[in-house]
Amino acid sequence: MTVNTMKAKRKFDMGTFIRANITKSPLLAIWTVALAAFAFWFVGRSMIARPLLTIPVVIAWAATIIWMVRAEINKTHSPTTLWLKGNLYNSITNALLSLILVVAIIGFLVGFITYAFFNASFSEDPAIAKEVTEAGQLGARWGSVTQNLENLLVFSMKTEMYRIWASIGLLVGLSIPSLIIFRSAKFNRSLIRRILTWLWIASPFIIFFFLRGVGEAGGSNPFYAIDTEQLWGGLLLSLILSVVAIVASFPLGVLLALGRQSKINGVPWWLTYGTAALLTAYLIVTFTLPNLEVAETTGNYIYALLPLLIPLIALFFQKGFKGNVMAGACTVFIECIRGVPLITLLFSGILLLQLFLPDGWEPNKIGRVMVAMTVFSAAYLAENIRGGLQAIPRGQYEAADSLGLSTYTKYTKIVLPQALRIVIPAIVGQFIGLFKDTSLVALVGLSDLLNVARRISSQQNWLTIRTEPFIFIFVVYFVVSYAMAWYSRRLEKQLGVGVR
Amino acid sequence: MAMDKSGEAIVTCVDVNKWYGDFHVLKGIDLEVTKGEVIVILGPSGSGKSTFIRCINRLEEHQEGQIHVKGTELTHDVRNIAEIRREVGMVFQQFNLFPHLTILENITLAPIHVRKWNKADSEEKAMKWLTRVGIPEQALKYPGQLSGGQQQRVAIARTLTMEPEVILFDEPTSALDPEMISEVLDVMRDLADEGYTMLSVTHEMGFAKTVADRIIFMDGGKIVEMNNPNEFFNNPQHERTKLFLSQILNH
Ligand SMILES: Nc1ncnc2c1ncn2[C@@H]1O[C@H](COP(=O)(O)OP(=O)(O)OP(=O)(O)O)[C@@H](O)[C@H]1O
Ligand SMILES: [Mg+2]
Repeated sequence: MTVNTMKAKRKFDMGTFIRANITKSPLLAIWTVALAAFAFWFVGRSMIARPLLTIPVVIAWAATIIWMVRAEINKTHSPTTLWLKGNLYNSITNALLSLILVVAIIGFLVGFITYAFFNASFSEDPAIAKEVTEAGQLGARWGSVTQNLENLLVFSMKTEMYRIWASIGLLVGLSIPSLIIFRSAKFNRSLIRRILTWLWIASPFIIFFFLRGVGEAGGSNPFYAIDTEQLWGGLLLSLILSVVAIVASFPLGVLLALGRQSKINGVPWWLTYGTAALLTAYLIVTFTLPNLEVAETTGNYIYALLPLLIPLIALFFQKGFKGNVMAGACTVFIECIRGVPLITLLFSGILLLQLFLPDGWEPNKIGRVMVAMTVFSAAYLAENIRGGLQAIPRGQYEAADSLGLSTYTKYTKIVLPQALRIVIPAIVGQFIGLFKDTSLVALVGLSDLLNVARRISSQQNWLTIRTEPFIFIFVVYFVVSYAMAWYSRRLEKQLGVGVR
Repeated sequence: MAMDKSGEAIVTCVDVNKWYGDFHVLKGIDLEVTKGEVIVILGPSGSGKSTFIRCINRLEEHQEGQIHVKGTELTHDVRNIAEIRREVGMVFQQFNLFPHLTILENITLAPIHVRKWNKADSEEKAMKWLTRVGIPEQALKYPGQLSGGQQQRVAIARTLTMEPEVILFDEPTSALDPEMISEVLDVMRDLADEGYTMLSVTHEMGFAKTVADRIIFMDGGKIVEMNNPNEFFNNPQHERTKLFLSQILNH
């Protein structure tokens, strides 16, 4: 086919156009007509409600379509008309949808801005707020948020603000030198750089010390221990919980991943099956038979027969993991945790944790939630890290082995540094997920951001006010998560540089 | 490391057998490598050359027979394995440098952690070897910034800084572009001249002819023929060897 005939084929043709957009099938015809009718009705309504904003949009829409169609017919396309053709108006349907969407977005924005600004009251006096917002149309009473700002952000820690300022001070104090030292090649491998890195690693622990404290009040120690369950809450609690969970789950996740990967020689099959057979026989005699004699309900029978599961478990352990206790235990742990929703773990943490702890060790609710979230996070982290481990080529292990490195050196100097670098973005992503998941602790009665927002509607001043606090926490969650996602993408790019 | 072909056995393999599942890869390998000897292993693909030399430093495990290195037997005992790996260095086809460490760190890692030399000594020895292989100026770069030939020379320096008794080479030039092959072969030739004990799997016939003290020809997991290069190339004894030589020399 020559270029000429191709051009001839491409020439605009009304018949082809109508066929492609309307009459190709009855369904298409009905759809196009229905969509046009809806657009007419929808845009018409908007024109009546907001003529000053809608009419210019419709005019712009029509004008750009005419401009683009003329360019199409006369073959005088410019980049702009091509863009219009490709992105907004490439069929009748899309042209109509473009118009409907723009009008809908305008409608939403106008509605929201009116609610949030023009009709809103920023007074913290509930009477004034009520008067202002009930005089006209629906409007926000932002006083409910501003009056509770401290509650939402730090909850009862507002009486202990010096602890928070100390923490923020530490972070800022570390950030400023970092901006210089980590950026410039001059400090590569210098002592100061190493000290700073260690301070960063230590900072979560120092901040935890600031915020929680140790020892009795009343002495010269300003950071005495406080009742975290009473005082921690709001955004602060969400941040503490997610940071603690990610930091604490890190070593655990590394160990679980390595354990699951381990190829150490397993227990030989005869030992597994032998032990299982002896144990089953012993339990049948001492447990099953006596219980069967007194059994009455089906439940009793099943209970009595439980030891019969032991051979099955032994079979599973031997076939699935070749008798490797370490790999078996880690896999079962990881899969059990991943198979359960976080909220279930939170309740288990609150209710069951006590059973596993030594006497005299009674963490409060926050401590238990931390344990549950750490365990949860570790299972997912382990799978991420395992992915990183699998990405390390076999040659790296072989080179390390052939040089005679010990297993410990091989993992700490060769394998883990490479594997962790690969999974840093995934870990940041997991951290974002964990931060959002902290909203679940509201269900076990902690005063996190969500719970504080919910409780505003039962304050004397702001009875039934729900929307405003929720808009606020929406923004908080979004800003924090988005900032971290942005950072993760940047990190991903940085780490991509210089790697093979 | 002087010229010393005194006949002291460094590596002794007696009736080494290995299976991958049902597949019998090594079928009764017997070999004695004496100090200062350069042995080149030839053979068609899949004949078990790599498997054999990888058994010598326990990257693969043999199931029957004995392998001794400087009098230490390779057993399941991890102390023996560690002992032997200290004395046996290996250079791989794919270099296998550590991409997250600089060249200098690549080289000094094992001396510091395995030989327990201090950092300054290790770096001094590393620089000596980098100079020997001709790229001291690359010490602070990362492997990804070097050419294939340079990376392989670093890998050789990394192995030699450990001062091993024997060096195993598994097709050290096969992953290289043609123009970089000679720079690596030159280094290997120097090492051979200096009396290092070397076992090398290679397809470089020129190197085999001029450098090797002995050529081993493997096929189907066995050593089919073993002779000095002159006899091996000019007067092969076995049909299989003749066929192999005619194929590669016509090639
Ligand atoms: N991990 C393994 N599992 C099963 N079979 C293997 C494994 N590694 C190697 N083999 C088989 O063992 C045989 C010998 O392999 P080896 O790598 O030693 O051959 P080679 O002589 O080095 O060949 P090449 O010249 O291609 O490198 C081959 O048939 C190969 O398919
Ligand atoms: Mg091979």
